[in-house]
Amino acid sequence: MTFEPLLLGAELFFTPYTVLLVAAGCFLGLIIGVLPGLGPLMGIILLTPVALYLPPVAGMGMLIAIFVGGSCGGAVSAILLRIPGTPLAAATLLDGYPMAQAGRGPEAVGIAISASALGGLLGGLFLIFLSPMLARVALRFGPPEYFALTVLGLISITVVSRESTIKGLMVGAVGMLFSTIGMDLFASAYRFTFGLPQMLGGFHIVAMVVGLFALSEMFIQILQGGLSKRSKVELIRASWWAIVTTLKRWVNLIRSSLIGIFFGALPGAGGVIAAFASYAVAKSTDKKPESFGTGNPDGVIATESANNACCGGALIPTLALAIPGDATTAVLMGALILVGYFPGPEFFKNHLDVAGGIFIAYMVANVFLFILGIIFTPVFAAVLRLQKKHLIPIVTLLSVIGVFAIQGSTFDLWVMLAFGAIGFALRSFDYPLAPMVIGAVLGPICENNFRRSLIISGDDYGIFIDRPIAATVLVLSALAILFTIVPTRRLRFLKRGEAT
Amino acid sequence: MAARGSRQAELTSAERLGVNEAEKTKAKRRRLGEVAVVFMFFLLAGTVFQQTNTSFVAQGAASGDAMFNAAMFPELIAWSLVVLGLLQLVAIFRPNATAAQGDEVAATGEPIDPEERRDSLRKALLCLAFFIVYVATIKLLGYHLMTPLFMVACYYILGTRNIPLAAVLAIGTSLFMSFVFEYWMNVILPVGIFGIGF
Repeated sequence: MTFEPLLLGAELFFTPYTVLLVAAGCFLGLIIGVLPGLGPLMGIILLTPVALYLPPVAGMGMLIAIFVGGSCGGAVSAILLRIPGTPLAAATLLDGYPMAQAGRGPEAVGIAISASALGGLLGGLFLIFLSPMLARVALRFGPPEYFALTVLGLISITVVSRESTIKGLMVGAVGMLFSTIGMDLFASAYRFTFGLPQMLGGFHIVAMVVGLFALSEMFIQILQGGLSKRSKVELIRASWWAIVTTLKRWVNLIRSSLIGIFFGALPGAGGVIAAFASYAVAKSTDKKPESFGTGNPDGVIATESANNACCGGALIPTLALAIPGDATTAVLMGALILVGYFPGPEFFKNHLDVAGGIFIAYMVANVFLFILGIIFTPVFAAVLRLQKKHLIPIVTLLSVIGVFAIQGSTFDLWVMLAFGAIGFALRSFDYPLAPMVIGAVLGPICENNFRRSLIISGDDYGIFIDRPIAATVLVLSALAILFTIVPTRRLRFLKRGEAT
Repeated sequence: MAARGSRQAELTSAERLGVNEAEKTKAKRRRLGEVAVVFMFFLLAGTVFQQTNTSFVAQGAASGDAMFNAAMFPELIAWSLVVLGLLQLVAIFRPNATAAQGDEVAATGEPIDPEERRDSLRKALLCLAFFIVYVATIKLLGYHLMTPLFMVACYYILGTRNIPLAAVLAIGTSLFMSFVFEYWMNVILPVGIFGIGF
């Protein structure tokens, strides 16, 4: 059973077309990750419309490769410019930049790429072995358990997000509300369509996500200025030998990867927390903790292996339980649904070959990450010289064509524009956007299981408490909300103490 | 000398008062914005209740058991939204609420000069206006006519003053995208009333 998905998936994956697309995805991901302001999420969003026109494993493989490449690309700008290309690389600059300042830039970039690839591969092993096991356990779940899990999934991401929990929950609720637009499959009724035929199918998730993230980001990038600023960055060439340096520090590599996998699998935690946590652990367990922050390669290994191992970890609950841990995996899950496969236990039961193809794509993407990352380091450094004024129109155009291509509808373009405005307004007032995507993706699953549970119980809400797993998960959700209130009170208490 | 010193001190305190006043105005404006956003959420919840009491009732999908009550789940979320909105209002009007935000900073981490901020806002709004025109006319006039025009306009607004370079970039990007989507993915892009397409 363990190797069955891989054997079945190999047939779907190993075609020149698919392998080439995974390599292209990895390369694009690295470039998108390198550019400050963009990141794996943006790459996946912009390329999802393309993926929908490809065979399932090729399309998903390309998107997962963007996820892998994008999660590592940010390290290049963090090391060379002290500007993390993505928040995932924020901890990498602590030691990467001092290394570059000391003339060890090529070594730092090489170590970052090697550690990312190796951490990613380790994350992949856990993905391959754990997700089918988790899916088998989840096969016993009924609608009440699934309802409880979706509630927990949404609450976790809002609780852990940097912004206010209440704001996160509000945005998540709005995402769920948007998911109810269109035809109700239970009662065959039209909901919130306002008589518009274009609304019968609801808002397309890609139009929503492109508007929320890509359009609002472009607007913000223009507002931030510096459109003609060209970064002065040296064109360096990373060394193949960096992998030896990385492997020599195998204890740190494995420990940090395991931390990354753990935080990845935890809904809401994600790569940023994983990177900082593994950095802190590496520093506290090192014989010379004072050397961290001054250019210690262990700092780069810890953060980069953790944030890429996190990708594999994040895919475990996404594929096995249909519970995405963050916005990126939510979009990946949305893409998988759009190509015709619903993640969860049934996915492993009925489409083991596609699941296996995705596993292989993930592993191969990490191999490509190492090869392409090292070969094309000068290209990534050159990309950093790109001016925003040249990049913004291209990203905007890609957003427009991508959204139009899905259904050939200009209505989707207006939806995208509206969500761009919503995204900008919410971001201006520090509302997190990720819960809206999670809400929109989890909304139909949540409602479906909520109503099915009530149909089974004859409208008795006690079904959610009578079933031990559902009750435990719902209690956990309630505790997750409570936990966010407690530290605030403690903080207030401490502040009062300081004032007196 | 001492008089000059006290005059300077007066000026400094007056300046400080001015800064405090400006910060207070900024915080007030921010709080007003926060409240407006919460009311948008209330408006959304209100729309849900309006719809469930009109359109849903007309379709016979606003009551009954979980099978036939299509309003059950949206109403549940709308009520949660109302409760969360009220909690957020309390948070906004809490005495120690951190309503004011620091100075806006550029991507580089440096504060944005007010003049530059105004210029950036003008550019962003102009791009948005062109974007709206582009979306509104793409179906009528076609992808191959409108895209290069939109791109040239964007490049120009964002600072590429060399028109031939902007035109080459615009046409090149537009054709590349068309190649990827039309040839590779067989997507039919809008040809418009002039029927321009490949």
